[in-house]
Amino acid sequence: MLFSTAVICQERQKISGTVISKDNSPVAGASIKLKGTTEGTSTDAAGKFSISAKSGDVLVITSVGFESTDISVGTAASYDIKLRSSASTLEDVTVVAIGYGTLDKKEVSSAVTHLSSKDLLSVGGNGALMSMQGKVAGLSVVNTAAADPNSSPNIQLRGASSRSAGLGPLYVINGIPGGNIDNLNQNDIESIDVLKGGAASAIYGTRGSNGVILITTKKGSEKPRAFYDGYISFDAPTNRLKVLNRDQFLEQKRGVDFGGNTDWFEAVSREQAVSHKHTLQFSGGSSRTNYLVSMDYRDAQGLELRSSKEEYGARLNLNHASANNLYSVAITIAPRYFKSNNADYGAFSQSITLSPTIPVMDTLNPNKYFNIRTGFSGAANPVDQLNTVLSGSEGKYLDWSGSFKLNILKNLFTQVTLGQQTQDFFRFGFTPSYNTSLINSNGGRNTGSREYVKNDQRSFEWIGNYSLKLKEHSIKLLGGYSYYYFNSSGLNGSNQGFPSDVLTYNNLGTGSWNLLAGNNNVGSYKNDSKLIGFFGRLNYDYGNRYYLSGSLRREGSSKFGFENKWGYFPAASAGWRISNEKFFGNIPFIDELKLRADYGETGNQDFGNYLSLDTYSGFGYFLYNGTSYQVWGPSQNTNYDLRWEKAINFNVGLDFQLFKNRIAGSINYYIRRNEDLLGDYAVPIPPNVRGTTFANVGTMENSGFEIQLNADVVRDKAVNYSVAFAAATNDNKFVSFSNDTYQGQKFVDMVSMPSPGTPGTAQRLEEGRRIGSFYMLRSAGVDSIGRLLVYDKTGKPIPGNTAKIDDKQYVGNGLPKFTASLGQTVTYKDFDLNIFLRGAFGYQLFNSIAFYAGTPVTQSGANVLTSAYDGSKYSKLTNAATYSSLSDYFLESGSFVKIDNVTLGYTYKSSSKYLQSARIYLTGRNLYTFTNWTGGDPESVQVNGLTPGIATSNGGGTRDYYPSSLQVLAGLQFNF
Amino acid sequence: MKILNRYRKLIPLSFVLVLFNAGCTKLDETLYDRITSENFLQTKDDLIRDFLRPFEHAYWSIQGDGLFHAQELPTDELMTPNREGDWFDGGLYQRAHYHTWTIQDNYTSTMFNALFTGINLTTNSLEDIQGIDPVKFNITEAEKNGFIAELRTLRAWFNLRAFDMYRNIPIVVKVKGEKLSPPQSTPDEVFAFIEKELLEAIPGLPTRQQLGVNSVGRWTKGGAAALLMRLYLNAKIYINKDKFAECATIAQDLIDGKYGTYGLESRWDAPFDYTNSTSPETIYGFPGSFGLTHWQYDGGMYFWMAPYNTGDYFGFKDFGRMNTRYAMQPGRNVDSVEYPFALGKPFIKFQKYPDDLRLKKYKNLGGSKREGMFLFGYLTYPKTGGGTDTVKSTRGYTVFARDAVGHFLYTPPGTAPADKESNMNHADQNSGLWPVKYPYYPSDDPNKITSAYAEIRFAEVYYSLAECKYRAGDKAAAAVLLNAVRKRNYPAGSASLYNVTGSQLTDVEMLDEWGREFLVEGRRRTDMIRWGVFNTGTWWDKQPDADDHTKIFPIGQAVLNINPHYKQNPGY
Repeated sequence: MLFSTAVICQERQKISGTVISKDNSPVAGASIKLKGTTEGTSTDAAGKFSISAKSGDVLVITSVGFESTDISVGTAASYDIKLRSSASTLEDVTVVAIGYGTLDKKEVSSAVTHLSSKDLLSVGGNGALMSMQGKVAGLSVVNTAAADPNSSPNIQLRGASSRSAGLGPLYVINGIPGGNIDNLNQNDIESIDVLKGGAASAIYGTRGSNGVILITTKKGSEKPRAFYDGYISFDAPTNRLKVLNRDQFLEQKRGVDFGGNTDWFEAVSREQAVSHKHTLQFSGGSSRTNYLVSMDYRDAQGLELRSSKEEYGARLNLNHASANNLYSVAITIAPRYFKSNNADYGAFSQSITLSPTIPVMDTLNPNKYFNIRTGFSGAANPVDQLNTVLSGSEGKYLDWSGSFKLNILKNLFTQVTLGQQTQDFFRFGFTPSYNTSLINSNGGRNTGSREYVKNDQRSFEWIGNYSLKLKEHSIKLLGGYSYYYFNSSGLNGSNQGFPSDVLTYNNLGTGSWNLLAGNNNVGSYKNDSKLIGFFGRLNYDYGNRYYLSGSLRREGSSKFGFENKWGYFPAASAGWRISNEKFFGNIPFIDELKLRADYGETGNQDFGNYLSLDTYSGFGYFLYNGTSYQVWGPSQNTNYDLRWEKAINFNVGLDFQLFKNRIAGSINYYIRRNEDLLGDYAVPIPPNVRGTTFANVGTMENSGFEIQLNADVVRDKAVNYSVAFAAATNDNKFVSFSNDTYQGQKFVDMVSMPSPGTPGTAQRLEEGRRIGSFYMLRSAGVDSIGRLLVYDKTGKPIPGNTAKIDDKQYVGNGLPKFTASLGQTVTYKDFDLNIFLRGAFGYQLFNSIAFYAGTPVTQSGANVLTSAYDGSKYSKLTNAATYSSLSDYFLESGSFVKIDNVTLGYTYKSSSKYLQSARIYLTGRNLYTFTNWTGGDPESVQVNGLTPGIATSNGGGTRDYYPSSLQVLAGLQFNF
Repeated sequence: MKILNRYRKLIPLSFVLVLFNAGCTKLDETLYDRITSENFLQTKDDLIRDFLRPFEHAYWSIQGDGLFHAQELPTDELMTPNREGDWFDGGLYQRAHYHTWTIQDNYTSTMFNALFTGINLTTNSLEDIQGIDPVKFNITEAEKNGFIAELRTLRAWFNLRAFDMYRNIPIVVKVKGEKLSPPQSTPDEVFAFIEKELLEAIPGLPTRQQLGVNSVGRWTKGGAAALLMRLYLNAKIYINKDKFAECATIAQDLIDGKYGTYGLESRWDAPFDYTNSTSPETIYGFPGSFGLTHWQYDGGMYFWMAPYNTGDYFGFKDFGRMNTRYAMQPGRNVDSVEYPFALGKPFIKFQKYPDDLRLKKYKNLGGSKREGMFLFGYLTYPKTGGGTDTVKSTRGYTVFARDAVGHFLYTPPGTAPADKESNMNHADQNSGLWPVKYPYYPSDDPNKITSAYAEIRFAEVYYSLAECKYRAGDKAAAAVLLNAVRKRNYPAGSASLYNVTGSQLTDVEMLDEWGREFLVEGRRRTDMIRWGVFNTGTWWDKQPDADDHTKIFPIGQAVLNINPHYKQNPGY
């Protein structure tokens, strides 16, 4: 043996080489093997390798994301090897973050969707996550006012899961759970992994119930690199609601002529809503120490006159590994500052109902706003409100984390991570004495307020990781401990009657009001909570065919009642990679086939602090012996049994790659049962002091199919065409509304509709029903005198105004049954074109604006939608008697398909030493909506949460709305 | 073995983890801005804050959660008609007028919960205070007992109201640690309980004189006795036992000063004026202030008992716009012809005695003085910068308030509109007149909306005694008692006073006089039931009921849902 080796050595020579990718960047970690042997090496960070080989040997170079390449060894001593990207970019062997570690996508046995930065949409707007709208089947991203620069999207995974606890997923940014999504620049995102299955999210215990979104930011590179991205965007209202103009208003005798001619929509809107954003990134270093610094600036305007947001932030990622590889350190620091002026959501609803004959400015004194005192409920001069009322906030975020990893053995390491996220907000408000609605409401006493809010989250995590590979067996073992501390406090003060409007909110002490009223109008608060967890996970894989994973987290929260501080959250999953079985043979069109199933229990503890305790707090005032005392008494019913909400998740799925990886995708079916739902539960008075107790009552079930498909239809040197399709169904049932302790309540009425009139509640959450069920009168048409007829409980048509609450019934549902998206990418040489369509189907929306201001019986003096006179069904309601009868007459199908995003880009590659590449792109967003819905943009009505399908504000119905916008965005990128 | 060797290296790590387990697993909660009940009571001031908690709720409860409108809208006094689409509210107020409410009408539940929240808060404070050692708080045993006696009286006040509205109610004497709701008691048991609580409380209560200028807001011997008087006055209705004699005795004792010294005001508006917290007529008053609390001036009560822009007429602009939620029922049809029925027509009842000072239009006279009690006709006021302005509706037309209901809109005074429809579903903002009992002084007046709310007035003792005398056949005595109060409503020597024989007094006149004196004071329903006309009478848009089950309210659906063992009141 020794001898033969010596012989071979004599024939061999040392050869070296560099492995590079298509864009000439080095490929690190590529495997170089001598064909037919087990000998081999791998490239270093610079893509360099050396190996002994003899002439005629074949080197097989493989690397993740590239096609396997064979090189015959000739006489040369050095080889430059250019790897071709894997035929399909979809087939990229993807590293998937699963929480406290990563796996190759092929090893994953639970439902996880991976998005890389290039999968994200180009969007100018608030919140980095708008860029993943529609991209992940089952993940509903909704922003009902996307054009408001301060409006963040609402995100919900696999349907609503709770009553009152948080519905949003847990964000884990670079491994820190509870990451601040507002302090994230879209350009800094490297990848996003959405843990949908319970088995994956169960490692996050009491915070995993609504799914977990793991975000990894870009890291430093070895090669010095600079990158710039900048865009400018223009927003214009789209899907506008049409109202009568002055002539039509007078022709229909809607009200008296105030002599003006105002298009209120135009009056409250900016001429142009312009936003721009710039990101600059630098990275560099070595394979051992590298950094990435990213800085961004954004200045955005909303559609109406007041709203705006200006922000700038930065992110530093620093990685350092010791020379002997014993330890490594990673540090992230991300500061951000913003200043924003709030939108006034009443402005656009005023623009619908204000008489177009009212002038904006006083006709007698053009320096004064016209004082509007008649008209629709709560009429005010919206231009005055937008221009004279100050309302906004300033904020600072500082997120940092540092981790220290110690490699005890080659296959054993331990890591400690510290993190802190602080948020400081300053909020202000001021209304000057000349504001007309203030003159009407308090005689013109100016009001000012300021508020400071401080939120802090600190975390400590310690994990150990062990891996072992024995022949066909591979084991990964994880154990860890985590400790989180949350702290929140605030201070606020307000006063009125300041000597000068010039002071605004800056000298509250000079106001005379608080002394006069005998109330200091100062408030402060503070609360904190702790969350402690122990966890472990075992991943086992046999022969790259059978994958098993099991995990257990034991976690406790200080928020829970004395009796229930701690809980266990187990999970298990299994995957079977059928395509690697011998019996599977060689089916030519199937490259990869994996069947998997997972089960996990997760929790939700996203609710207020101290809710289990017997606390006393202050209420109003009462006089005693000549002194006014603030009275103190029980602030809530105690509930020592308060505990986490529990979700039991079950998921089966299939992952596949077909036709030489031209088609890749996955199918999932899930059932999630949420038990012990947290929320205020009606309890009897007596014995309770308060009518509701915050308790764990209720069970909800969501289930659905999800499909995610990617196909390379045309794969050519010059032309490439690929399609991505994502779709999900959601079946929801509110199963039960009682348990051993709390019984009796079968339903709660939701969404109380605002004045004028008291139409009552629009939806009911009831056992055995889908959430979002509209519970109102069932319309039976319109009678000869223009009254709305409705069916009474015996099925007899009666005028709507004579109906009783008992006549209400289930008439529709506002939760989409099916959502889908279709993305298409065409590249031709250096041009690329993305067209992204998105839609939701099988649900109804309540047309609140038509209900209040879309019929001819809308109160006189107020303007109405043109639907009141255009022969539509709303124009037939000519009898005032049945105004404010809440019925399904105002329900319309919400189904839509929209051309959501079209991006055209051109990339210029340069060989100049000053520039590597440049890209210019043009995006159109929300270009066109195909829908039968007549209330504007169907997406301006929320479909996430417990009351989908009807516009709400703070849980009640609202007439307010913010128009949706069509956005045109032009951007430029440079790589230096 | 090899594997075990490798694992051995993990042992120190797991050992450290176990250590951590012991040290860093504490999940106690730290409170910062609130306090648990166990350590709340530290000083006498804490005791007072705890003691006052149910009082604050009590003041709110005069108008909150439907408690005011349930006493007024089903009667012949006030109405909330559909004013061109406003105040239709799903027919809620019309059902109140027609006595056709259902258990789905939310106020049938919220009133129950509001009253029992009061009872529970009182009981909770009682348990807190009963549990303390007076020495630790530097108070005497007598002071402690005083707190307890006042709380028991307050609880009796809540109980009496719940009893009056729902009759079949639970009795609550303990709340801390209780898990189950107590069962409903019989009316006899509840009556006996309220009577016992008041009788036991009286010895421990102070008198008005002992408290002096600080008597407002405090339960006194006089206050508790007045509640007993209310209980006895309505005993026939509550438990089918005639207790008018007991009522007369206690009323006479009150007039005789056995429970403290009280007196009648000489000005009709004085019991409601800013000075009423120290008025001898106020037996129990909730202390109001401009800046902190003034619940009778809230939208549940008087603030929404005037046209939208009436703040301009009053010159009171501090708290937004008023509203037309409540108005007096009409005495006439749209052609200004008086309705034929005996009940209702509140303004016409006042006009029966035309020299009544209250019949004047409400007007601020300056210097915290007012005249008149009603808003009618045009409401004209001086404009800043000269000239005058008149209160307008929210629909453009100028309000001309009339004692009739219909769609008058721009119809000038004296002209009958073509639209003759006049009912609960057909009103505009000119329809009905508005009473102004508590004054609205202008924004620059130091006494603007600072009146206390007079929950029990000494006048009620006179009227209650007069009713007992009348029922006993002594009309002359009744007339004297009524005139003692009434004389302030008319000029000296007015012929409007009852003659000494009381011959003018009839059932109708007695009930009308209750209505005149206690208009919009939240008791009309109780009075009409006692006089037997609540279910049999006819007034404005209201026909007699088929039976009398609506004399008590049903226990609302929301309450029954979570108390399945409660029995619904008969007839519902």
